[in-house]
Amino acid sequence: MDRRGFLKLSGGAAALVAGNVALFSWVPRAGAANVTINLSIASSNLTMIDGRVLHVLSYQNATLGIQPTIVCQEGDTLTITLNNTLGTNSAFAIANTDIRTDAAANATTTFSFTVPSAGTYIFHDDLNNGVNRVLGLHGTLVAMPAGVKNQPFAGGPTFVRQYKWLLGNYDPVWCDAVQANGDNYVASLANQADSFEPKYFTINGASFDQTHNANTELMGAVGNAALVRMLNAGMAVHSMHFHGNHVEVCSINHVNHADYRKKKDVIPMFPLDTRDVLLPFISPPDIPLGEFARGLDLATSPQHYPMHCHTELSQTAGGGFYPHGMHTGIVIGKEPLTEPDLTQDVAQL
Amino acid sequence: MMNAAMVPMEPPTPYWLTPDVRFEREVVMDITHEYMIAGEPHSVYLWGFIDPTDTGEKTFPSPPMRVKQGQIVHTFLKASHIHTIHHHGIEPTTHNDGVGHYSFDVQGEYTYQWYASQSGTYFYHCHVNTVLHAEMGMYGALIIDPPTGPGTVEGDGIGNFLPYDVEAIWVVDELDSSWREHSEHAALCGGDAGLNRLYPDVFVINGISNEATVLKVGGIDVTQFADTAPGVAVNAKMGDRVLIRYIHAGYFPQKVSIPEELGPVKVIAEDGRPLAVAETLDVVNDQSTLVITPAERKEFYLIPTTAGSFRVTMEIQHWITRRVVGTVSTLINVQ
Ligand SMILES: [Cu+2]
Ligand SMILES: [Cu+2]
Repeated sequence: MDRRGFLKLSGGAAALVAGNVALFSWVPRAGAANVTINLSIASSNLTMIDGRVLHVLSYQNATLGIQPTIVCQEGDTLTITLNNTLGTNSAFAIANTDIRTDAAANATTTFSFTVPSAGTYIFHDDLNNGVNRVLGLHGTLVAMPAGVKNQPFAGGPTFVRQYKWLLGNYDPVWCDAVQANGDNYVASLANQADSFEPKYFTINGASFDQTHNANTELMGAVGNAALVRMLNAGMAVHSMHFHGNHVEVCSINHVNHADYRKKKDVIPMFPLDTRDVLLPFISPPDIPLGEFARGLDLATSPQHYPMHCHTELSQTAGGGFYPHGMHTGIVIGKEPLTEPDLTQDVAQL
Repeated sequence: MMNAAMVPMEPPTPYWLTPDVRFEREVVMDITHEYMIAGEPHSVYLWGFIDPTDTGEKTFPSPPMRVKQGQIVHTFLKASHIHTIHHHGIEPTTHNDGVGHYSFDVQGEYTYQWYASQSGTYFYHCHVNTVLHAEMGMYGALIIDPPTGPGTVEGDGIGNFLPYDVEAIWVVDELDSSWREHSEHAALCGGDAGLNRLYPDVFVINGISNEATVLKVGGIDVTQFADTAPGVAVNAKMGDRVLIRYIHAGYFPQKVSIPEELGPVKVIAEDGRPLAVAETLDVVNDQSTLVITPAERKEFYLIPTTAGSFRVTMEIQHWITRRVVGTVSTLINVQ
């Protein structure tokens, strides 16, 4: 299957199932370019891990699915045509920047901006105290450094593959209320933000164990480091715990750490945070060497671990069902059969 | 979809080695602490691990484990119900990581085998229906000392060993007494057990709150307060080098405030890894402050130069609204 076909497939499937994993495809080039994309702002259904179907609002693109990931190069000019089909005003804002435009109800808006410095960005609808965002109106913008495909920023650490984890929370009461009362009900929810009580917790739109897929589960042979771009589009404070390897902190909200990178096994994720970490894929350091001497070989016995949020309330679905929440896998010792979209796409650089 | 309540099939420990140190832990599910809730004493049930090779006392938190960097460790777990031990921050094989969904739950016995590769502050906890079992109290501190043992700590430089005169381990948690009504398997197979809702009403350091906390020591009821409880309150002399190992064992963000009079507070290590350069806490409203999120560990290092009793406060913030839902505090007494 050619690359284009793959993108279409994953995009289409993503829109209906786990969501949110496809990428904006772009061609190799030396310098900054003009990039255009159409996004509609619309409601859709998202099926939760226990089968419950939620009414969500989202940015959508026929190829990219909902909650899309857009990959650009820093300095590119990105032109976005926003077709807001909702009966309520929306917006497109890039968190922690002043890049923003309104998108009036039932109208089309075209908006251009210069892609900021290399890093990971949440785009979202910032209206109504975050209500629109947490109902699903968010996505990922990855700004790659110019002409570089294996570093998060110029001078940063090198990686073999890269992933993004877009974190979300859903309160079915809110989703049902908007479905029942119409899109404009978001303004009423903005006055009752304290009532938000999430019951579903997702990474890239999916809860464990639907997170065992090439775009979310981290997999690689020993030595093949992975960059993980984490974005918290939800309203809860999360605390991402990695088993198997400590991660190196590369960027916190666009403050980059080129030379010295702190090693952590828990990464705090406050709402609207973006934090990029490097999972080094070293041989897990607390395996006694004697186990290798006695025959343990990670290449033939890859080791499987969880990555989960340690705000354990997020490990539930529908009020129970542990551990079907914000949780995915880490496999150390084996290469993935399918590369994550983000790695495949950037490999075209 | 995998069912969380898997049939446990604990195998023998693969690649068995002779350990340098061995711990035994046995699960108990009938620990009681009495806490003041809304002005009334309430018995709060807790679960945990006892050390049958020691006094076997039923404590909350569970007894600490302490080893030296470079040791091969065996942790023997005995459980009559389904539980595990995950050594948080330790990175052994899948079999020895104690996460049922990736290996097996333990209903019987298992010996976890791991290597203490890096000195630092860790903790251990059950990883079965963790949202409930950790909330029920199934955790304890895990300290890896440098190869030379206690008395120095690696930090403020990789390979730099700082001596300390006074050490405290603070395990800080919030409890929701209403969760005691859940069964140990609550909602493992679906159904709404409300495990996404936590309304904590007890706030503790090492299991002790600021109001009268009644626990058993040697089978006898003892009343303790976080301001004075041994192991919680810190007693130091001016010029002492004080190391506080902070372990976040709860689910809500914790904002720590340390009075400025105690001097600059440095974080020298985090999550069991020394920092190459210590980070001095920001001072806000005369307090060195830091927000810590679930399961993070911080090693605070300070050298008080002023005598007095100084109150260190942990505000427990709601995980969504960030409002303060409760506090727990203790004293650093400097002579
Ligand atoms: Cu347990
Ligand atoms: Cu843990």
